[in-house]
Amino acid sequence: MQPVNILGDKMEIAYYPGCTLKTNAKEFEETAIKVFEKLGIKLKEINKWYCCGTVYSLATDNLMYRLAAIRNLIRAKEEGYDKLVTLCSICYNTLKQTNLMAREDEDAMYKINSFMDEEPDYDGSVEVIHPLQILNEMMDEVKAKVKKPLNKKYAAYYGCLLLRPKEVAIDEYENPSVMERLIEALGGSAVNFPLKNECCGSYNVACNKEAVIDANYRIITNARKNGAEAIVTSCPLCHFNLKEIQKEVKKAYPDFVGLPVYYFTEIMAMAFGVKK
Amino acid sequence: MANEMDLLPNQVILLVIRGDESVVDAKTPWVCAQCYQCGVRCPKNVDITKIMEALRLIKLRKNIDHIKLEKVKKNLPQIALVSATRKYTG
Repeated sequence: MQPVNILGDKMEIAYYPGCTLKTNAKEFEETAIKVFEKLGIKLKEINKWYCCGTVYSLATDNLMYRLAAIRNLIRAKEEGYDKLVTLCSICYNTLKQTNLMAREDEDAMYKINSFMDEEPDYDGSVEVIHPLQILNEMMDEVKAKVKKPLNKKYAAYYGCLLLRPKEVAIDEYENPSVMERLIEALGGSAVNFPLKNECCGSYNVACNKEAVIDANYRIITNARKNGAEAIVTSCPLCHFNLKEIQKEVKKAYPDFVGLPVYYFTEIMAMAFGVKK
Repeated sequence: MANEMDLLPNQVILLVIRGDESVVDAKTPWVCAQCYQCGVRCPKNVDITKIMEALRLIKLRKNIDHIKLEKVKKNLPQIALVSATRKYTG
């Protein structure tokens, strides 16, 4: 369950961008900063940050892969923040899982803190938040800002890492609804979408593209069959896998008909009438 | 991703239980993109995701990489490149 009043009375929150928000997913960052500003919340990029390490390492006997995430959490704490927001689903998942480890695994943190003796010790006290958790509590404010209701049917695609493992889920992990409620608040309608939490193939795109092409075909066709005119997502890698390879999907599956793919902040910007 | 796998997650677990080392040569651990779906749905609470990582690491820690980095296309977002490097190379 979501904690009530996730931001407290703070109107500024530390923001961790991660690599892809500065390159392939610039439109995600730009629209996010603007729409949150409209809602009276400043996403303040932390002064210094590093790659989070992407996918969380599950090896418990090699903690090296978790150092980068810990360092980012220390940076946020050093700058006086007790909460850190991040847009990318993979960054969110990695930072959140690492932070849970910091809270629960004393032995691991003893090793990590001893190894990083140039850094202050970290205790897991920064809370990692996804912007959809903030929006979940602000649906009335979102509604009030709508200038151009969306009037379209959208399929909300969550993918994996906002929902699983269930300890880090931003919503009910098998049947989330926060993005659907956001779509409705923006004046659109959300379609039933059974594949909304299926894997898009993720980094298979680097060496096993056929798998991603098949996943794309299944996911987009399922959305379309349920009446969707566009797909909404929060993950830059899902966005790439669903959007950028549609031409290749068409080659493999001649009956394939694509769909536009947006970040949730892009449809918010459209509905708020915010220029890109 | 299950339909891309040569062994289904439950079959992987069965081979692991039997101690059948051929499981490390299966395609499945490399198709698994750590989406945690099988893990959260397992009625026995088996952490299948972590077992897949262990199977990948058995090879990666012997310096047997799953991909050749020079063959990976460059026009991918960083997020894909870094993830692939992390999961497919030792």
